[in-house]
Amino acid sequence: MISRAFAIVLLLGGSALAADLAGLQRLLEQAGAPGQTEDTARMAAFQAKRELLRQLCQTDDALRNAFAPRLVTGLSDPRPEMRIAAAQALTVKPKEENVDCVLFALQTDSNPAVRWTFVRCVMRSISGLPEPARGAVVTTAIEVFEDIVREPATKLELRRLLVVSLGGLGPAALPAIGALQGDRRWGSILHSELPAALGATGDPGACVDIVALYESDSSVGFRAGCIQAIGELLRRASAADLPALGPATDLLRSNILQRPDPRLAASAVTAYSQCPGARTDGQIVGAICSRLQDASGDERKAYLRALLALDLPLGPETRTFLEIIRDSETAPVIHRKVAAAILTAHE
Amino acid sequence: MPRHLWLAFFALVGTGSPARSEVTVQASTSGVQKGDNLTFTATTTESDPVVKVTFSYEGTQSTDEDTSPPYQVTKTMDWTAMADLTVTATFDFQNIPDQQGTVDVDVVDISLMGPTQPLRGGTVGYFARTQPTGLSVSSWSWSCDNDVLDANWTDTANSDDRSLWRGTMAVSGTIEVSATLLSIACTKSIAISIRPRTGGVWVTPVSCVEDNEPNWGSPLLGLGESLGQIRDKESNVGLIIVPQSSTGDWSDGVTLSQVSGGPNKGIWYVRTNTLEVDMETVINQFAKSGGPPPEPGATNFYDYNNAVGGCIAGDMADFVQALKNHEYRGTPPAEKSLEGHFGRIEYELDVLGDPSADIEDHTATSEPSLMSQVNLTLGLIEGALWGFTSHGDWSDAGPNWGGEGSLGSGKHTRYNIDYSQYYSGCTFGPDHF
Repeated sequence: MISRAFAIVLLLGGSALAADLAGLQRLLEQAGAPGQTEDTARMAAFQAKRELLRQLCQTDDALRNAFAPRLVTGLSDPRPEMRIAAAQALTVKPKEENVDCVLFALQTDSNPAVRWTFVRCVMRSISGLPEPARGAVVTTAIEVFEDIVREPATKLELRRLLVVSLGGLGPAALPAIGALQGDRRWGSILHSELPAALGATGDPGACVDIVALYESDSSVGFRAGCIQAIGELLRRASAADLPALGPATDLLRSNILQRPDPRLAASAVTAYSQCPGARTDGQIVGAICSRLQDASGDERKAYLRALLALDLPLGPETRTFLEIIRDSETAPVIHRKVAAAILTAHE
Repeated sequence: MPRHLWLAFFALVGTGSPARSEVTVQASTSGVQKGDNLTFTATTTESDPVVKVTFSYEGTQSTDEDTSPPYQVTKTMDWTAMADLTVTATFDFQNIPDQQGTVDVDVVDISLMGPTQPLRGGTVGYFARTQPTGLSVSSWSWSCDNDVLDANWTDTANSDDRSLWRGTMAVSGTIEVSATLLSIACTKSIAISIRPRTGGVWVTPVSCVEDNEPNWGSPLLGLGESLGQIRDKESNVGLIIVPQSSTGDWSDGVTLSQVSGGPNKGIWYVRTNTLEVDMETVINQFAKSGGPPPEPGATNFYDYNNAVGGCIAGDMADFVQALKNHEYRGTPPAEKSLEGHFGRIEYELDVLGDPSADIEDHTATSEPSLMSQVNLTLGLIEGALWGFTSHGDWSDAGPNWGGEGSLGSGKHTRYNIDYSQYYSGCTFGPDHF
């Protein structure tokens, strides 16, 4: 039996959240559609939504559960912004039933921006679900995502997001990704998203497919995508996975050391810095440090980010160079920012 | 005479008087912390009528008077900190000379110094010392009250007259220090208001390279391959604030640290970040002048639509320019234009605020909790940016294409691969997303 004290807390807390939801509704009514409204109204609605989510984050499960039915109703609100807010609020903490509700709404909503948000909410929430709930939701999500990808009316951007998100559902999504890849209608259109989708699965076995994709298309942009996908696999790899990733790490190393293309070298450095052994790979560390000063643009940015990610010790020369970049008014802002972050990390 | 007893001082005034009269001053306690009140009571055994009693205090010109018994004054001891501060009561009698009595009290204090508005992430120290200096203290008790994680520390290192509590500051709150000085319990506090870090890494660089992939795009068939796209330049996928994983995790872009000691010990904060918006627009190679045909032997998209009688007869150059402008900064191209995807992202970032600055104040009691907060904030901004830039109302009518006076027409035809010919009619319009 619920205690009197708890009942009061529940009542008060629920009221506060309900008041916030009502306030959010009012603000969203003022804000209307996101593309057309006054900035102040849109900003106020954004802040109200943020506050509601903050409160939902901080409150306990009982209050959140008590509040959830209102949010589920919000998923079918006629205003797109309200539906987006409801989905974000429902998935602010991972909960199987709530993810299911958003998945259901995703199938029936026709607004691309709302659907885009629903997919992002589902993905964020699923990643925090414990097993076995996660497994059940993943199975449903794979079916829903694949179906929507195949719907002729689905907007291309949403279709692309769904393909990459399928990968984010893990190895269980590999058959669905493979089916889409082999589909005459969608295979070529989704070609550029396939490496990211395969990498997002985190399955070391996908490494072979990614390397094959890399070899199949010589365009630099596509190959950079393959390299980033390998980086994603490396990020999630355990020590036991590393042998399976051997061909992929060889590909990265050759792109760094032989530098066939500055962009590919940059992507490879970023990806390789996810490798558990990268910090002790003398050749790669040497290449990063020696090229840092000569490279420019995105390639230098990649070397800077690798220095930060690998947490390499800074020699006097490197430190001085980083200080020069940080303080230079002519260096690209992001170079200055990453240099500052590295120096801060070594304070 | 022991300090803790009420003190009485006797004054014998008027030599040759037939009897010894007595003036006594008592304090309500032997000592106080500076700023607290003490009550002084003066009494006399003299029978002559009292006109008034004047209380005077060592270290200040301030005096107080009382004309009726009990001759008493409550004084806020706020002008100095001093051991054995003498308080004098002077009786003004009607017929005989004045008589005085005194009492010594201790007024002690803690001086607490330190920045009241430290910069988040900066290491600062809060310094406590006895007033008067040189008093022996066996232990200093420090505490920090804040909304994230309170901290306490007892400094028993020595019997010194000073103590230093030092550490990285992350959240606003109140720092309090307590110690017993000359048997008097003293407390001092200071309100801390953290200053956010601004500029430098707390500004998110925003950039977009236009038409950045010459070989991007698939044949423009009836299935809906897009004419153009805006996306993250490095990953080639639909991300705005990066580095970001496909599941909306920004852990590669932020460095989180836990405060190791001092008033904010244990609190996690965002130490630094490398967030940026680094986008590119890509224009389908099959839409461009001289672009490849949808299949060998076919007329390319540009020439077919540009031909006399075509959907965009003689106007394809403007169509492609309108396409570029739609993805980038509108027509004419302008920063924060509401007529281009990148311009809208710039615009909305202005409205919502800088993402790096937004996470600057995030703190938590654990690393996962802090990362979750950061992801929530950035996810909200990312979602709002996509919502604003992808909202379709502006896409199909305006200065880029579609509407009257627009740069190019949005209606065109695409290739039907099943029949190796272009569709009849101009049924394909600009993509709203």
